[in-house]
Amino acid sequence: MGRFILRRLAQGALVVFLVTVVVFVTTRLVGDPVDVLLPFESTPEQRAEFRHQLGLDRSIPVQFWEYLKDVAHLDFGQSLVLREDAMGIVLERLPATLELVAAGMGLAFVVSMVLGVLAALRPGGWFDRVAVVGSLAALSMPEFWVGLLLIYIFAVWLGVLPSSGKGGLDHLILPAVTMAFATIGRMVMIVRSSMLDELAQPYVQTARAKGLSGFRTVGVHAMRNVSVPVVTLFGWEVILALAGYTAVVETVFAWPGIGFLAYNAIVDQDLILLQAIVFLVAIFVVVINILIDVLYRVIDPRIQLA
Amino acid sequence: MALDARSARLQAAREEELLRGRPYAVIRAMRSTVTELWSDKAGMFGVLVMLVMFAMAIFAPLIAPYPPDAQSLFDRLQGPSWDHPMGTDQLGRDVLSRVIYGSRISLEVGLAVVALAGTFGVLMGLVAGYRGGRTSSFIMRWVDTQVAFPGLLLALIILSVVHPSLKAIIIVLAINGWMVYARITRGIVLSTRERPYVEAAELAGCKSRRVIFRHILPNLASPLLTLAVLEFARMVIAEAALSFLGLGTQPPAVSWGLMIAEGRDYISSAWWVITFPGIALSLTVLGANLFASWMRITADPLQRERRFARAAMDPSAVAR
Amino acid sequence: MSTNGTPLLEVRSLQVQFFTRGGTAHAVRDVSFSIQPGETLGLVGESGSGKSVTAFSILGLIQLPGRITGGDVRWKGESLLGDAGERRLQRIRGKELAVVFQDPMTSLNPLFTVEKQIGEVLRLHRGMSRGEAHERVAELLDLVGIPSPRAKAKAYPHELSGGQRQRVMIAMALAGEPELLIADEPTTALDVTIQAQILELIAELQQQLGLAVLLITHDLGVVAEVCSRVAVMYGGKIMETGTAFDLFERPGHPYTKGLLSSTPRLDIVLPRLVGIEGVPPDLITPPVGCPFEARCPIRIDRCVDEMPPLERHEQGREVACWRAFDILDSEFAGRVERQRL
Repeated sequence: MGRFILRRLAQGALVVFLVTVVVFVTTRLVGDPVDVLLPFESTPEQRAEFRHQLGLDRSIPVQFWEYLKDVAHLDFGQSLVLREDAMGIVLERLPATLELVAAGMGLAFVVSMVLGVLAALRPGGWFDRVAVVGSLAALSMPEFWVGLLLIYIFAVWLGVLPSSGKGGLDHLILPAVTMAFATIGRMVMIVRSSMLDELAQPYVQTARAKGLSGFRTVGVHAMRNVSVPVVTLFGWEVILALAGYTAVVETVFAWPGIGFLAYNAIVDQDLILLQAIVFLVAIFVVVINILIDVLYRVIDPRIQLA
Repeated sequence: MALDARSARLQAAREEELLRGRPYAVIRAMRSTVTELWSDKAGMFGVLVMLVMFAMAIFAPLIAPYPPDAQSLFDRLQGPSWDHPMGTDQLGRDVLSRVIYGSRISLEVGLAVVALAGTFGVLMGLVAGYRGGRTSSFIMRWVDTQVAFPGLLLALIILSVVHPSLKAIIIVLAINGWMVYARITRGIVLSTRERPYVEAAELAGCKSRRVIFRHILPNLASPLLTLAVLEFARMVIAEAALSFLGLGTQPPAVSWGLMIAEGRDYISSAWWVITFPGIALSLTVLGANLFASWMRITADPLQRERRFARAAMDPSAVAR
Repeated sequence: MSTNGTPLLEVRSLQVQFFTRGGTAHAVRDVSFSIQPGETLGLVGESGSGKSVTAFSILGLIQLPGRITGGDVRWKGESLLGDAGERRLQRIRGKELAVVFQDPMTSLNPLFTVEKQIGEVLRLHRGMSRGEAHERVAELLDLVGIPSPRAKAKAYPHELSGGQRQRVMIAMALAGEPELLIADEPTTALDVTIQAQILELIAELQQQLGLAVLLITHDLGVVAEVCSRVAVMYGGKIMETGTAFDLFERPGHPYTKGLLSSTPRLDIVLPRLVGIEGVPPDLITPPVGCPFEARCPIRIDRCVDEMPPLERHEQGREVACWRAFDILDSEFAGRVERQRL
């Protein structure tokens, strides 16, 4: 197991490295940051000066090397807009995002397990039909739209919840629900169909024939087997949430996390800040991937630790 | 047990279909498609919705009551009325017409990305699955690595540096999305190769290309089609999200995501500006998902049996 | 054979149907038999004859698209059908009535150790604590002939061989100390060499523990090893019952004779294998008369129109045929001879 983790860490490091390369390439080579950052009217001297400041007048390999060294120190430079250490800003906003993702994904997990299992127990019944239709609707709705609708219903029309910002529990509810929405839709389908598959397996018959109650057969035997695909796919949802949806959901609710930070960085064309954010997210993605793999192998002893 | 014998027979029938080649299977599928459709209302709904959306996109100039960019500051932010069934936005433009025209970009992006990413991904998957060895290893490593990238964020960075034209969006999304086709294709190729009838074909001296086309591809058709439809849905939402964040479709073009972004500031006073494009988006995605799920059930005889049995036992039950 | 006292298991006029898109299949049509305590009954038939469905019905494991549509199943005189019956069934399953299924690979939960799966039965039905169960599991594994039982107890199913897995299934079935063991094709999924071992094991255990056994199989050889009585099924109905010895010596039903004739023998060299021509009947429109009629070498007109009842011919011997025992004078020789009388 230890060797396996080490190998995955090495692979993960490669991924993070490649991500930094991609970011470097896009920001330095594809477009000219100077044009992007300085106003039109700037004189050639100002541009040259700026260029020198950013170190863009050196050759590409040298730039890259400097870049790598800085990254290793987590020094991404100063945010072009906020004029502070980029990584510092990112790390400061990180906990807010983590809070949101934890709340949203936690909610999603509980709700989808409950709904999915209950639906699978009476396939074709009214609960199942409602659950399936509801899930299909939920996973079809774009997250940002759901967020806006929820704001309209609960903040504008009913006026019971705040529409933006971070604060107490009431501020967390709408963003967390928005984040969980499509995930619940997808996961209910997964849990339900995995559970239906497992319930059709012979070992379930054996369990019943042994005299085990329906509760234990489903809750222990089938559930354990269902965990395998569910954990993998749910882990994937968490990654999607962290690497993608936070940008959208946080923007809708002005939630002060790294997603909102990324959005603002894009609007302000603060490439340095963006680089720092992407780097951090890449690390998270890699770590979570490794965790999923480890968990997967813990649950299912048939998997060889290749 | 009777059930085992039955499922074995169904499996055998399916294998036979595949052995005889695609045309045979396709014709049989078409014949039974009509019966299938009527016994699964959800799938039918999905197909209808998709057809409506595509018709909207194709015939937009003919059915839209107003030009999508016709501004009228006098009429801004009007609620739904006879003149404007979906109301007007903050520049007085008719929301209904914009929704109709907006379908063009959303669907075009979806189709283009699926075509691009799908072709590349399937090709990679075929090569990886059939060649095996180092080639396969390299390709799958590449897939694994790219899968671990934070896709949306990288797309955002790239699009913020390169200006977000339609082409750029399509390419970026395709780069982000080809991996799943490769994985699935390779998986199916590998599992199909193990089957005795493929081994038999190879032993009989069939050249690789023949083996691939006549024996392996038919197995791929159905799962890939299902995947393509699902990915289409995902890409429609992805384009909308990019547009919402400002890095997708740029004004004055119209896309559903952009409409929602533009209407965001007016939620409290004019709910219709964001509601209708959102509904259009959701319906398209829902239709695609229903269609894909219906396809999946129809293609697998065992699922079909279960579905029928359930319906027979409980007349009010619906397909799973 | 003792026929006094309440039978352990009694199946009366059981009817099971499967609702499929192609029509309703009548898998089991009016099947009746009983098993006394300590008795071994073999239920023989080809695939599609309804034998496994019968077993599953007894255990209450019939699921969509199938359903028990008639008849009764009684345990020690009390019905196992209906609401009260289901409660009774839930109590005795795993405890007084145990099962061994066909494919041990898929019948065991792949994610739990052997110890955990057998231990479940012990804790549930014998009220043992963890420690006690631990000991008993080792004992049971030893009883079924698994070497290094303590080590194997901690293994997962995929780490064991096919034969060992089946032994584990048997141990699991015995854990509740049952009075009747139902074995559904226990050896079909195993190698031929292992088959013999498993059957010997079952026969031994049966003797040692005084178990009643219902052995379901398509293989006459298997039956001969373990069972004292045999019932032959075809087309969802029982064609003949009797002691194993008697049935093999003097088959009363043409189908039984056909089965016996088609079993290849090592001591007689035949130029070609003998089979029974024809195919099993379509269960969706089952024949009104005898289901075997189309393939029977001694059929008469009456066979087409009227189903012969299962009649008692001698003590413990029943045959469902208008021309019971006439087959003894004919041969199955690969060609069907139609005689019209």
